[in-house]
Amino acid sequence: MKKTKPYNDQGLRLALQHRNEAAEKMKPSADFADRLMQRIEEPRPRKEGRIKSLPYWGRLVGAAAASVLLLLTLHYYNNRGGELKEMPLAETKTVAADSSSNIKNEPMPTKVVEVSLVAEAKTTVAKEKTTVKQAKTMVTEEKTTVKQEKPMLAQATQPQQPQVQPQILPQPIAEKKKTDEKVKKAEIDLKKQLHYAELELEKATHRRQAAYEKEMKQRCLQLVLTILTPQEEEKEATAGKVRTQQS
Amino acid sequence: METETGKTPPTTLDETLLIRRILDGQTGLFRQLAERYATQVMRMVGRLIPSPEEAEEVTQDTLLEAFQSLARFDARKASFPTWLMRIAYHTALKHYRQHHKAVAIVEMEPNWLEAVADEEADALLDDTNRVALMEKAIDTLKPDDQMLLNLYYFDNRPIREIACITERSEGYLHSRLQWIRKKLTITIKNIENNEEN
Repeated sequence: MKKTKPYNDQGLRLALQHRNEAAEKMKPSADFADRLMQRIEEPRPRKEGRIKSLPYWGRLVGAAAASVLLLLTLHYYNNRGGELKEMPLAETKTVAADSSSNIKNEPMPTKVVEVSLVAEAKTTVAKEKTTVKQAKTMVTEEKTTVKQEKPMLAQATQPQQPQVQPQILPQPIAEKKKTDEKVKKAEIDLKKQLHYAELELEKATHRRQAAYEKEMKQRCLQLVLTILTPQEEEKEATAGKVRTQQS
Repeated sequence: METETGKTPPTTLDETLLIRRILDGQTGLFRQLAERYATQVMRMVGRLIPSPEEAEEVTQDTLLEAFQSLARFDARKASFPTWLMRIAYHTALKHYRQHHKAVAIVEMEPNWLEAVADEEADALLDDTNRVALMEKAIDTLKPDDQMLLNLYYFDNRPIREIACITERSEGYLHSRLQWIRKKLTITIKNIENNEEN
């Protein structure tokens, strides 16, 4: 930091004194403090919320609409975001058969996954993978045998030995072709099985989603009904119970 | 510092107690603080705003702002009058920029700062025969530069305190003061030349 000596500048000081003469004579008026205290004690103008100006039913309807909107957006984002993400098995929950009937007692819905289906699909996929690996090892073995047979073939097809008939010689080749075809068939079968397993998995996820959507819709409706008609809801619940008993 | 009421200047302990009570809800006690410092604030504001009515209005705004932000006052950083002067400084500048026309800027030649030697500025600004010219030259300065001159030369405040009031660094204030002195020197010379011609 640059430090300078204190400036004397007598002329400048005099000029400022002369210039500030009028300001130095200034005094606040007699009622200055009173006016100030009045301003201080005045309540600060605060913006009144628009919600307070609404009647009771308006607030109720607004709250219901807002909650439904919130639920719908949550539902929409859940579908978009968690569509094909696999949840860890530890966090999954099985679907209860009567989950829709006792909504009040349950906490908010969590994402439901059919554990058995997913587990089965996973095991089948693992099995398929091992078989594919086995098939691949088989193919590599065949290839090595073919490589070993190649010099024999070359010897057989040499022009110094015309007595060897060409029709008889390719016997190992034919065998090799047969095994190749078998392997190819096996591979195709495995691919098909894999494809089917994937399709099953997709179906399972779709089922999961559909069940989740259904439950969400039911819960939304229940919530709206509880907000709008809290007294009628109990009657409806009892009526529903009676209906289920009858059925 | 002499108070307007003629009483002995308040100790900082009194002030801190008073402020604590005000913050506890005894808002009426703020009147004491207002009465203590209103004149001092008004005089400072009046150096920039010559109209007494306007200066009083700005003083009211300053004290109201001080009351509203009293909870933010930290006695360890600055004394209450210095803190109040900081609010007054900024409120006055804000009012001036909103209600007054910008000052005419005197055009300078490039590298004018090097063209003026420190000794030349010292000699010229020390000269008591050129007071009237200096007043005219001060009028051509920007409002914050005018305030800085007043705080330094008229109030004789130390640079550290001015830094607290203006919320600038001490280094900046030193170099700014030097800049203002050289600018004043050139402006005085120009006015003198114009008057001679």
